[in-house]
Amino acid sequence: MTGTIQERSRDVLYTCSYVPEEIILAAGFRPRRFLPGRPATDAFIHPNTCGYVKSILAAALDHAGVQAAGIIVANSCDAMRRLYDLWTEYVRPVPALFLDVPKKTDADSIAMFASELKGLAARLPTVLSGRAIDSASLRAATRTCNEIRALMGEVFSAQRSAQSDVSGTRVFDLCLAGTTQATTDFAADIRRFLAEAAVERRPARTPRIVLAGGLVNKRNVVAEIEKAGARVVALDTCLGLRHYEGPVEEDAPDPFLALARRYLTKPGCARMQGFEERMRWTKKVADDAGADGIVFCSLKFCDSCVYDVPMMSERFRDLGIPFLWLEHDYEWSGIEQLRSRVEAFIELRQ
Amino acid sequence: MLTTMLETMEQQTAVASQERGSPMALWLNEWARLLLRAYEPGRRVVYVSAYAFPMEILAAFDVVPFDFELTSGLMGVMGGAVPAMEEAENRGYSPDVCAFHRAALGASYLEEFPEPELLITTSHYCDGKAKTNEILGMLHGRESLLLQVPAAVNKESVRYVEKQLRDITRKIGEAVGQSPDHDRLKAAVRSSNRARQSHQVMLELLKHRPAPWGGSELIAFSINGLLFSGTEVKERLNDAFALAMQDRIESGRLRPEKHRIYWFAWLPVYDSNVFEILKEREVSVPLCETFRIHSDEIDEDDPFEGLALQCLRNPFVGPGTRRTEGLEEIMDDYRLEGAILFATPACKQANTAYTLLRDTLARCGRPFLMLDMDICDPRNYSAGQTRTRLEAFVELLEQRRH
Repeated sequence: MTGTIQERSRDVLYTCSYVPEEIILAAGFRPRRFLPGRPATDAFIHPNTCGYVKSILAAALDHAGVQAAGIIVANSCDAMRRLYDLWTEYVRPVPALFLDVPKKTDADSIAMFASELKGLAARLPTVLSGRAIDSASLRAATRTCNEIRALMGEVFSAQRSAQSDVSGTRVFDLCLAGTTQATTDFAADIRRFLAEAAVERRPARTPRIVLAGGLVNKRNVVAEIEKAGARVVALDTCLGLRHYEGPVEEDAPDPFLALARRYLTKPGCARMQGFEERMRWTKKVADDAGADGIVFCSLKFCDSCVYDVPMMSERFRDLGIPFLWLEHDYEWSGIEQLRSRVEAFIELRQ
Repeated sequence: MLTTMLETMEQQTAVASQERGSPMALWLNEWARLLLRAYEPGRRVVYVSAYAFPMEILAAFDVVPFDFELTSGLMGVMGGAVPAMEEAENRGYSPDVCAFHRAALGASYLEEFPEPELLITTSHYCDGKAKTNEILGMLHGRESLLLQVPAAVNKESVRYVEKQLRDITRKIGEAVGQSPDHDRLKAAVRSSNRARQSHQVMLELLKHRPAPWGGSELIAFSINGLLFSGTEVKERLNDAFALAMQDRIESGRLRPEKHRIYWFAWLPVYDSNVFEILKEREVSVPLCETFRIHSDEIDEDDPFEGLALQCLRNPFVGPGTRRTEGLEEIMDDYRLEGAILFATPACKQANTAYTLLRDTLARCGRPFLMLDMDICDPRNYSAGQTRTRLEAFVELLEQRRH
């Protein structure tokens, strides 16, 4: 948690990369991806629910664990939409807003999502006592987010460059900082990062690994890969590349439609329809980074990912790209076991 | 193997249906015959989630609807799901994947399922169904379609769903080489409206104490019977069940009943002791959430809007509180003393709401049991644990009465 108590009371939490930060910023709030460090709870939720949702609920039920003006819960998956139900019923001091996100990317779904975003923009200032959102404030917020996206694009480019030795762990830390920092502070941090990364070095040849998957909330898996002698050259996760890929059109006649288009058509999370598109994207990430292998991480009980894995694993095997699937429980309590698998996987690539 | 099982089922139920006039036998016979048609040469098969997608649209085409989940359930009933699930697991599908979906994936890998022309599912009820539909589409090399149903019911969402339904209708026509026929759709909607009336009659009859029907048959029919929505078969089945209930009430041939309970979500398809224990303890289940009616009659002259609203008003779309709306009144009307949530481990959308359901029941002053059991995988079943939990629940019902 960062910032003073006053600052935190201007935070609006969100739970998914499909929630446009632009709308939160335009209403005068600070967007913060909610990644609580609380151990999961089973008291209010079925045990076979993913650790992320359980951890959010645990933090929320301990009211001191959530200091924010409100939270936006996206319809990311079955567990998230039920999290919203439980939040509205049992966590009343912090208001929750629901954002319905289609799983399709056709024109009608984009229009439907734009209408949802308009609704969110109308409710957010009222429910959370924020600033009314108009086209000008939304465009200003869009420019701010696009600037961050462009800067992060440079970071990811430096990370995958064969001429740099930017470690995946450092990039991961930067991405994690981006989930909580104010945009101006974050932009300054990225610039400092890029200035340091600009110094050309000749890195030793080590296995180059893409870390892909759903939510990877802790640096330890990246650190384990790099400790084993490899370098994480791309972070294809919802806190990494996929969060920053592609700008929102700034001068579009309808800014909500522009937001809807960007968010629905950005490289998709496993929640979306379109396995083939996801395969093409991850393959491109691996090709662009000259990767020697892919480590795919997913949360235990994440249906969206777990259904994809067998076919994804088979396809990458057929393409000659080694693929390792790791499951975690959000707290990464099984990291020792994962370490052995990571070490064996990297050893085979050396 | 599946077709052999279906042929046996078709023969056995044909005899029972003719000799005893059993509505259950009639239903199972219709189901077996429908499934067998999917394997006949030249038939156009469309995979569809019958309990979620408006089946009236398919009824307007010369196609055989095939629901991969309901068929997995049937495989579970007939003891054929485990080899299919093992096949899926051997190909990397985690045991955390819903057993219905593992069975469907395995059956497809084993080439037990018929070849589809097109695959259609919906964004409600669960994520896993949409994922499985897409994977099956890839395995069969056919297009898979998703009907996205938003959480809110408003002008935009109705228009959005309506437009998708029109697009899907067009795509079915293209896939099977047949133009959409408005008159046939109109007739299918009219048929559904008639079936809705007999459904209401059944709901009234189920208020009778002791219950004239219920338990596993009611729950299974409430879900699987939807495969026939929009056809005269559904009308005939509803009428047959209503008539049988009426007959039981009039003749007094009713099971003894000490307690009446409500049932949330699904039921175990394999041989288990759940309903046997309830019967032993004289507990009836005269109502389940999947048998309630949530939408109005559909205007046959403007079917797409009505069908869109039917999808949008589904209690498994939107907030979990939709599942508890009107529940207190229902509990009183049907004199229900408690409720069971059947919680199959992979079903996040149903299970994650259990606290809401439990607390709603508590507010009505009724006990609630979350019965953790797999829906289709008997390898995780423990008869002893199930008995302990159910008997403790029945004790609660009894204590509450005294």
